[in-house]
Amino acid sequence: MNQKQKNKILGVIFVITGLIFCVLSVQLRLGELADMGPGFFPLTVSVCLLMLGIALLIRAR
Amino acid sequence: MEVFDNLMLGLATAASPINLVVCLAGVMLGTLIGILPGLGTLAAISILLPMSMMFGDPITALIFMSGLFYGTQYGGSTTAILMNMPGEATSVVTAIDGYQMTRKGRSGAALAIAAWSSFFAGTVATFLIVLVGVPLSEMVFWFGPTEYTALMLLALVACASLSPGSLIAAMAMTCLGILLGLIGTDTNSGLERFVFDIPELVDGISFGIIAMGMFGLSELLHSWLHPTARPPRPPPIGELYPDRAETKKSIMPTVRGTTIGSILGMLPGGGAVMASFAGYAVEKKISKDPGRFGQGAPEGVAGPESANNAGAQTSFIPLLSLGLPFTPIMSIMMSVMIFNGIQPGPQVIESNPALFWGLVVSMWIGNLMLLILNLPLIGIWVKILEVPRRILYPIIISICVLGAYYITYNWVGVLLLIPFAVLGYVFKLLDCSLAPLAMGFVIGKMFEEYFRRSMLIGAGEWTVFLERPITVALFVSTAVIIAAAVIWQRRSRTT
Repeated sequence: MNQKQKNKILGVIFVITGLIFCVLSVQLRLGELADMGPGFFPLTVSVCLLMLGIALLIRAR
Repeated sequence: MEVFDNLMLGLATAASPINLVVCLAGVMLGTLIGILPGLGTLAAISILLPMSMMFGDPITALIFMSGLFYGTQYGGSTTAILMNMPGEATSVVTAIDGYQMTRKGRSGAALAIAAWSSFFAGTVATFLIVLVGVPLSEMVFWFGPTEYTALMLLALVACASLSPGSLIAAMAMTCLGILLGLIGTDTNSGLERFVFDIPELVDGISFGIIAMGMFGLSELLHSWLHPTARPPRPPPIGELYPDRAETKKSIMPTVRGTTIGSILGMLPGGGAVMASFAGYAVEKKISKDPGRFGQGAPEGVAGPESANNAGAQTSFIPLLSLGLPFTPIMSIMMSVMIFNGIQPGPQVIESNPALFWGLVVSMWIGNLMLLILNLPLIGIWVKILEVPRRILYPIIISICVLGAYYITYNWVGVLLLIPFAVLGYVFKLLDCSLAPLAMGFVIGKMFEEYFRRSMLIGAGEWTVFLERPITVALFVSTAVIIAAAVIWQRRSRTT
C-alpha cells in the first residue's frame, strides 16, 4: 500500500472522528467567544480535525 | 554565590542513597531497554511511568525517569554502532559511521567516543539548564494568558511540523489528541464532556494509559505481527578506547555537537532527534575531507552523539522553567510531576528548589554513571538481545497491565490499553506519527483554559492577541514554522 492510499485511509479516519466529535460537542452549551461554554473549544477543534481530514483526502486524490 | 548554595542543595538531594540507587537503576535499565530492538525511549518511559509513581517522592521519580531517558539513548547508540541497528531514532545517524568503525575493528573506539562525547555534552547541558532555566523562569513574569496561548500553539505546531510524514496528518493528530484530552469534566462549567455516563471517564483518561498503550504496547503488537529477523551476533569488541588520531578528530565535533544540540533541544518539538541529524550534517559540511563520512569517521560518531545528549537534557528546560513540555517525552515527565503532586510551572524552581537542583545534579551523576559503569559492561548488556521474544513480551505486557491498574485503580483503565494499542499500531502502519497526539493530549486542556481567559480579558475580541508584543512575536514564529514546513515538504516532493 503506497503513501497515497495510506493518506486516504487516514483522511477518512479523521473525517469520521471529526464528525463524531462535532456532533457530540454541539450537544453541549456553546456560548459565545467572550463567554465560552463547554462545547465551544471541542467544536472548534473537531471542525479543524474535519477540515484537515478533508484536506488530506483532497491531497491524496 | 546563590547558585553555589543551590548546587550544594542539589548535590545533597541527588546523592542521597535512595536517589543514587534509583539513578543507577534508571540508567542501567534504560541502557538495557535501549539495546532491545523495537522499544525506544518513548516506549520505555511510557511503560515504566506507573513505576515512577511508586517511589512516593517526585524527585526520586524524576531522577529515575531521566535516568531511563538518557540511558535508553545510550543503549540505542550501542546497538547502532555494534550492529547497525539503531535502537532509537536519535541513534540512526550514529549508525552510519559507527557501524563502519566496527567493521574496521574499531568498535571499542566508537563506543568510547560515543560515551565520552555524550558525557561532555551532558556536563555542558547541565550547566546550561542552570544558566538558562533560572532566568527563563523569571522572565515568565511578563507572560499573561495571551502569551501562554500563543506559546502553546507554537509548541503544538512545532511538534506537528517536525514530525515525519504528512504535515496535515500531524496537525490532525494534534487535534485528535486535544479532543481525547478533553474527555472528562470541564473545569469551568463542571459539566461532563464525552463521558457517555462511564464513571471511570469522569476524570478523563489518564495520560499514562495512552502512553503505555500507544507508545509501548503498539510497538509490541507491531513487532509481534511483523517479526523482523533475529539480530546477528555482534562482533567482539576491541579495546575500549580510541587511538590518538581518532581522539584528536573527535574533540571539535564534540564541542560543535554540544552547541548545536543544546540550542535545538530547547526548541519546541525539537529535542534530541533533530539535534543528532543536525550534528552529523554540520560535521559533514565542515569537514575538509567529507569523503571519509560513511566510511567510519570518528567525527560522524562524536558530533551526533554529543548533539543528541545535549538536546535530550536541554529539552528539560522548558518544562522545568515554564511548566510547558515541548516534546512528547517531556509530556511524560510532566505527568510524572503531576502524579506526584507537583504543579509544573515557573514557580517550581522557587517553591521546590530541591526538585530542580536535585534533578539537575542527578543528570550529571547519571551521565557519569553511564560513562564509568556502562562502558565496561557493554558485553553483558548486548547479551540481552539473545532473550527470546516470547519471554520478553509477556513480561512487558504484565508490567503495563499492572501499571495501568496502579494508576487508575479500576479495570476500565486497563481495558483502555487495548484500543490505544490497536490505534497506535494502525497509525504506525499508516505512517502517521503519534508524537503530535501526545502533545495535543497533554497541552489541550491548558490551551483551552488560557484561550478562554484571553477571550475573557479581551471581551471576545480577537484583537486581544495583537495587543502585546511577546504574544505577537510568538504567533509570528508559529506562522514562520508552518511556512517553513510547507516549503520543506514541497521541496522534498519535487526532488
